This record gives sequence, structure tokens and C-alpha cells, in this order.
Amino acid sequence: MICRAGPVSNPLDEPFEEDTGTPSMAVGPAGAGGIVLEVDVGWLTSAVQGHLGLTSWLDIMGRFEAMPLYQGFQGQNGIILGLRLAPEHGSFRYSVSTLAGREFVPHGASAAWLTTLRGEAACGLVIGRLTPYARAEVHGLQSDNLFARRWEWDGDVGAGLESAWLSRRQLILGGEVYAWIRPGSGSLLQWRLRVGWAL
Amino acid sequence: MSAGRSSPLLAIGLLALTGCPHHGIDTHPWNIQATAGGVPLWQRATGVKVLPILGTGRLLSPSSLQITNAQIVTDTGTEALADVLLTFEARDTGVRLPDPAGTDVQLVLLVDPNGKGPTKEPLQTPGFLLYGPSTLGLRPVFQLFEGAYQSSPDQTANIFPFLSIPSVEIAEQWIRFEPDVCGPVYYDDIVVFGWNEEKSLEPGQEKHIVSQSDPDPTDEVAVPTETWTYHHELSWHRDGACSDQAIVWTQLAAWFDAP
Repeated sequence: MICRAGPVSNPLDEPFEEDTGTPSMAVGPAGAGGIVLEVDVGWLTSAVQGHLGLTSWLDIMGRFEAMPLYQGFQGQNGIILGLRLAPEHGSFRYSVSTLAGREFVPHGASAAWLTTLRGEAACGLVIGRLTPYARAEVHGLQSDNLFARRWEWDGDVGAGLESAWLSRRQLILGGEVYAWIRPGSGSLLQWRLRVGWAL
Repeated sequence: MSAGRSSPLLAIGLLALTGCPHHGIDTHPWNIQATAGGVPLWQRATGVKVLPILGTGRLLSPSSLQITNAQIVTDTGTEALADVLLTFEARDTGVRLPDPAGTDVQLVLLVDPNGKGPTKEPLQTPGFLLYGPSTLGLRPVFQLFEGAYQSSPDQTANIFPFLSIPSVEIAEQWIRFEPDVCGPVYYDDIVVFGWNEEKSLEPGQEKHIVSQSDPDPTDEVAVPTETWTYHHELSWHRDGACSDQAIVWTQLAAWFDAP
């Protein structure tokens, strides 16, 4: 019988490793080859979206959003694609996203088609299963009116909390409150509940 | 889950169940009133009608005008009126009537006994066009309009262009809204078509527009032009309305910029 002795390491000699195992919907990253699927439900806007990790720090994302609780699918519906850079995997994480897409608003027998551009920055702190986070997002929406084609800009500033569950922490539950900030129209407080699954 | 760990999620859940922040658009009509001897002039009409009134104008305040020696032009001639008082609620919009300083004026009133405001309240005088003196006689100098007139009945075609020099159209927009109780209400722009140019105005915007001053110039090379200032107070349309809400609303003012 041949016994092969491997290197014996002293645990005290190993460098301190941060908790990198907790996935996060808000700040990412999905990780190379990883997928995070998410359902958001908010009083005004709800969405289904997914992140696919292209590398350990870069995700591609897709999102479909609508206003089912407020107006069914008769409000602003959007199909949006984007990229998210999330270079930190440790306890403190941050990410920057850029997104572009089209929104459509059904009215009568036709619909208004609008172009949207968005940018988001988020940061969070992973503490065991919990991830409190903050984020800020800017939205631009371009009208399709031939005589009055212009951009309208607004944004969100919010904070939320995620909690990861199950053996590999693949089930993520979260909630967020945010201010929907509209220049010239003031701010409105909004909320959303988030359920995610990390593959 | 421990009580300490669940309490933040519980708080968010309660907020989710209770927080529905509806928000509408504050709309303050001009509320134009025109009376002769205290009697509203719109009572002289049974449907949408234009009432031309001649007389001597004097400004009582930036938003009220008195016309003495007033006469109303009817189908059969002219009829003497008691002193006419024209008022509107300018609030802090910066819209001000020009001062005729005791000269001849013509007031073209647009009346609609069935006219409605943004909450379907009665609004029987949706607009007027004021003519003031110039070297070539009376000419348009100021106009005010508001109304819950939709584009699909022919009302807009009948009412809006008549008052608008130059012409104005509503540019329906879907990019900015308020989440009102019975559905979103979207802010609209207006587009003003001048001489060789058109300009769009968001709610609250004011712009100058060059217009053709002679609608039928004999010299096609040198078209006489003049400048108007357009003030777009507010326009919106609803995608879902409660029973006491108008579907659309438009409110604007314009005045001739003296050379």
C-alpha cells in the first residue's frame, strides 16, 4: 500500500479569506458562468431579470419590466439589455451598470415606442447571509414624437436588504425602498420586493 | 429565522402592503371670466361661439381689463353693452395683459356653455384673443386659451387654430408621468408653427417664435414677419381617468412682441 502524503498546512498560516460565497442581486457579481435570476415586485414597476457572468467581474443582463400592480401591461413596458461591472467579491462590493433598451406604452390600437438609457451604481456589505446595500440610478427616456423628440431624465436613490438562504445560499430574498426623483416634479417614495435564484 | 433578523424584512413587507404613493398633477385653470354689467357673456351663447366685442380698453391689473363704450358684434349688427370686465387667474405664471391705455380694443371671446375644466367643473370661457392698436389699425396682441378639448372630436380643429396666431398643436408625449389614482397622467408638449420654423414647448416653458404677419403677402420674396412669445403653462393627457377627471388638458398664453 502506497500512502501519498500531501502537503500539510497549518490553518494559522493561511491568509484570512472573506466571505465570498453569498450571492447578491443588487451588487453582484454573478461570477464566471454563473446565473442569477430575479423577480422584482413593486407597486409601480415590477420586473423579471437575469445576470449571466461573462467573467468573474463582468455580467451581461437582460430585463423585462412592466407595471402589473399599478396598470397591468397598459403602462410603460420595457425590454432592456446591459452590462454590469462588479470587480469586488469580498465583503464590501460595488458595481456599475449601463443599460439600453426600448419601452412601449400601448394606447388604443397603437403604442408609443421609446428609447431608454440607464446607468446604475450600487454598493453593499456582505455580512454572513445578509447584504445591506445602497444604489443610485439615472434613467433617460426619449420620445418618439416627430415634432417634439427629446429626452426626459429622472432617477432613483434607494437602500435595501438581501438575505441568502438554503444550503448554498442560492435563494435570495430582499426588499428595497427608494426615492423616485423627477426634476421639476419632486420625489415619490417607492418600494420593491426581490426574489432571486443563483445558479 | 430569529426575531432580530426577520424584523427588517418584516418592516419592508409592511411598507410594501401599505405604500401606494399616488400622485397627480396640480392644475390651476386661468378661469377666464368675462361679464357685461355683472352678467356673464357666455350666457349669450347656446353652443361654442365667438363673441367679438369693441370698445375702449383700460387695464385694472395685469390680469383684468375693463372695456368701456362696449359693443358686441352680432349677426344683425352691433349692440351696446354695459362695461365689460375681463379677468383671469394669472397666479405666479408671469402672464400679463398688455395695457391698451385707454385706446380702442377688440376682444374676441371664445365661449362654450358646456365647457369643462380639469375636474369637469364648469369653464364656459375657454379663451380670448385681444386686439390692440397699431399703425395699420387693430391687430392681435394677446391670447389666452385653456380647455379639456380632445383632438378626436372636431372641437380642437374648430377652436384651437382660431385663437392661435401662429398655429399650435398638442404633441402627445409618453415620457414623463404622474401615477394618479385611476391611471397615469402624462405631461404633453405643444408645438408652435411659425414662419419657416416650429418650436416645441414643454409645460412651463416660454419661447419666441417668428410668425408671418401678413397671411396673404403680395411680395413673396420679402414676407413680413413678427415675433410672438408663447407661454406653455400645462398640457397633459390621461391613460385612465376617474369619473371627475378630464381626459386631456391644455393651457397656454401668447403675446405679440412689440418691435
